Amino acid sequence: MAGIDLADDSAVVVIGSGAGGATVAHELCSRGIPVVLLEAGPRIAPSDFQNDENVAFTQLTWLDPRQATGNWSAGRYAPNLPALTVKAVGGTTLTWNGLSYRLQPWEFEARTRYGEIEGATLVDWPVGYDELDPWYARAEQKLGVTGTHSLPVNAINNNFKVLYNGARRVGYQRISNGGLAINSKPFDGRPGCIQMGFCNQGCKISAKWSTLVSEIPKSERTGLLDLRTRAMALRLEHDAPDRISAVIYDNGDGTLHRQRARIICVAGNAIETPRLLLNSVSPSHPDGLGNDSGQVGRNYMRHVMALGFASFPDPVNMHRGITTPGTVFDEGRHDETRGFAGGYLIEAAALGLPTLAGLLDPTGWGKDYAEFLSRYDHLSGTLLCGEELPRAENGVTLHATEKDQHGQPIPVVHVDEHPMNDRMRRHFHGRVAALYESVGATQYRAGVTVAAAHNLGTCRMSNEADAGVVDAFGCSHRVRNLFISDGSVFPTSACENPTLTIVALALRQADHIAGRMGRREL
Amino acid sequence: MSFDRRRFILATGSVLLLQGCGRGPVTVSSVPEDTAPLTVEETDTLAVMVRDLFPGPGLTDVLYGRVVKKLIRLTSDDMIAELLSNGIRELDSGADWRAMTPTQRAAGLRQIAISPFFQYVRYQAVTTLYSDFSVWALYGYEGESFSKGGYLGRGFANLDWLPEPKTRLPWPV
Repeated sequence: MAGIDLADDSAVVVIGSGAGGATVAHELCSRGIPVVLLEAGPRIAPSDFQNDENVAFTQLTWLDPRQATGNWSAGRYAPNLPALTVKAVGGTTLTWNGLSYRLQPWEFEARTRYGEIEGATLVDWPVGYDELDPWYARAEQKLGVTGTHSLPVNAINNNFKVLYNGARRVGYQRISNGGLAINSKPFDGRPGCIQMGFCNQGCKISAKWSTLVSEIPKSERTGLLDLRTRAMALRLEHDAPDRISAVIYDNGDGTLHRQRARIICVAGNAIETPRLLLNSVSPSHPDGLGNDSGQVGRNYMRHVMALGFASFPDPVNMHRGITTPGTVFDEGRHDETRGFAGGYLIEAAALGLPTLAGLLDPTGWGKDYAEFLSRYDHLSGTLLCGEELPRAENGVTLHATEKDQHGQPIPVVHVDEHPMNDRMRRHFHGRVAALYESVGATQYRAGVTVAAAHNLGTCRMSNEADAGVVDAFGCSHRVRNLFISDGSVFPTSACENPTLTIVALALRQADHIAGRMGRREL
Repeated sequence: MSFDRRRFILATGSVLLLQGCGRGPVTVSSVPEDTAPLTVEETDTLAVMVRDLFPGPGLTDVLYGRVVKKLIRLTSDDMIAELLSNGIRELDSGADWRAMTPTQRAAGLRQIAISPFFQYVRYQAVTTLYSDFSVWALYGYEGESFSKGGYLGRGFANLDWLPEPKTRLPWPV
């Protein structure tokens, strides 16, 4: 494994080993470029993952202090846990569901398609579907997405069977269990799925793709990856206003190091990435590195989410098998008559009993609630994943006084939801309740997702330097060797789970970086 | 029915004392041997409250006692001890809380549902009860499956009251 000297200023430094960061690192290593990869968390072997929601939460979750403010669910119910992100090698690819859906072509043109919406900062993407198409195809190949590249889809499990039949009865047409980065048969040195459940707790057998079991070991085999774990990046330094020169990081025991760099790619997710830039203040960057536009940290988006669970006379056993086994896509369209912009997906989703009891109603108690929970093996569930509009004031800022264990101001994640969010949730609950009723449900409960699962948009890309933080390749408008390589760059959220798009953008960005390095432009 | 708490504990060596698990008038519930810094009466009130919060079918006083035991353990933090004893005192400040009907108690709980005391007890109750393996078994949540080879061949697709999709579903849709 490459040991890259701290003073070596020819290195590319990538910060964060999740979907975006590890993908960029792997692409560069594969092209012969040495990479220092800083990961704030430890490296955990898949065999150490736990089939236990509570234990896995403690093992994997990023629990450094953060604050949630605003009228959203985390502001109300989880003021210290705005988002469920992972602090370990692999980042949130350890706990993602594997849903690998491409954005739809029209979703790249949200502003054009939806028009001006009051209280939203809608824009079109500076990159379109046709441009991303080949990168999507490569991403699908790398992840082993079922239904693509001759990979069969997985078998249908109980929970999806309920959703599928209900969806057909209420007239939905676009229903599939394809598009999962979960092996239906051995692929890429990883085994086929054994329907364990616990996809969100880290896949113990590595049937589900994560960078921990794919890009990281592949990069290591090139001999060009210098992976440093428990290495928390604290701030970035520059030697000219438009040239980044080093990252200061804590190596885990409080010792600070300065790693010199030729290029830095930041991929800490949409909370830690803007936080790092905002913490990197200098006379030429008084509001944070590369923040001349004032857009760093703004336009934070999750997805509009909700849970819909129904009780049936006969057993379902939703917990057996893939956690999110399939999806109804019919509502993933823009239709102004519904009262909200953008579309949503109806994703079959199982929760274990501890999470279900805690989440379904975060303040729930009493006879009705306890009785619904007692029906556990007769329940079937879905998750709403819908487009959330960007808003200028929703975002990540630095806390004025509170510091983390490294002495850095903690991030404050603020969300005041657009009124359309609740309109979308009401529409979803109406449709899903009818869907479940059509196959015999006796009771339906609307549930809440408290902390954010998807984190997007806080360093949005734009063609104009004053309208965003990075260009269409994720390169800072102001600092020419600074790149953002995660979901922070999304200008809008679309309604699909974001990982496949993050990977596609990272593949395209790495190609762009390697090309410019080859031409000595970087 | 009167019950000699101490003798029962000595006889069984159990840290939990249980008497009945009915839904009727509550006299004494299941609480640990050492209730300090709370009094025995206070922990009884707490046990009744926990049971009223999650009166799930089949949940026994043994399980509610585990929640109370955890709450007592958490009183090692002085702030929690104060939160609990003040909250319980409030509950008992009117009529005898444990002597009220379940409907009266539920109404009383609704009135204090925004209090930090209520929210703390509710949170500890929901996380403790529904993480208990015996509750999982009772409600059909099977938990860990890795050691058994997952659910492949063990019922992941055994739902038989709905038809199988006729064809393999298309991707992309």
